[in-house]
Amino acid sequence: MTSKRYVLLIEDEKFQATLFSKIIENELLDFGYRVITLDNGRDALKFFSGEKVLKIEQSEIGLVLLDLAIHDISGLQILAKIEAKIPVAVLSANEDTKVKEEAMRLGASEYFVKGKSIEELNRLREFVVKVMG
Amino acid sequence: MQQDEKKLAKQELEKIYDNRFKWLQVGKMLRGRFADSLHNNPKLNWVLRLVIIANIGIWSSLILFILKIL
Repeated sequence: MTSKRYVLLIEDEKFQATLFSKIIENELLDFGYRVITLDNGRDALKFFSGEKVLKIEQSEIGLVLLDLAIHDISGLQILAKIEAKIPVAVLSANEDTKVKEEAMRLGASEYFVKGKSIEELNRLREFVVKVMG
Repeated sequence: MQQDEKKLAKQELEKIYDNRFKWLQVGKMLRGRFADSLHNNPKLNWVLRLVIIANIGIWSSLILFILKIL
């Protein structure tokens, strides 16, 4: 197993954070990876600036799942702060192509529309397994 | 055994996911239909504006009337 043992989920809505954690953890069950959650933008910015917000280091993160609609800070701001070597999958309810293009320009690896369909959820699962598996 | 549990959990999580986001899909569909209606029938746009203005007028008159009584 590599040192990248965690998936970091940045999501401020508690129910969705729990739901996505369970979905991803279930998908990565065979690999033993864990999902760790940050529920606000300020802490996410601090974490990617090198401050000790979580018990883990940035180097232990294999994938970031980022919700764009965080209440305190724009998800795009956080995206710009994340190092290019960490893959980022954006989760957003916004289907606007301009937002998607902006996210991809800022370094997102993939863009998933939350709640669009089960096919979209499966696409997210496949992406997570591809990156972490 | 673990694979069965994983499959079961996957199905349950899909149900929860679907229920959670159903309202979002319905909301998007209704908004789309409303936008289409406005696009196909520009008069509806004016009618809605008039309804809003009339409502503001009625409620502000009522409030002013009540304030005057008090």
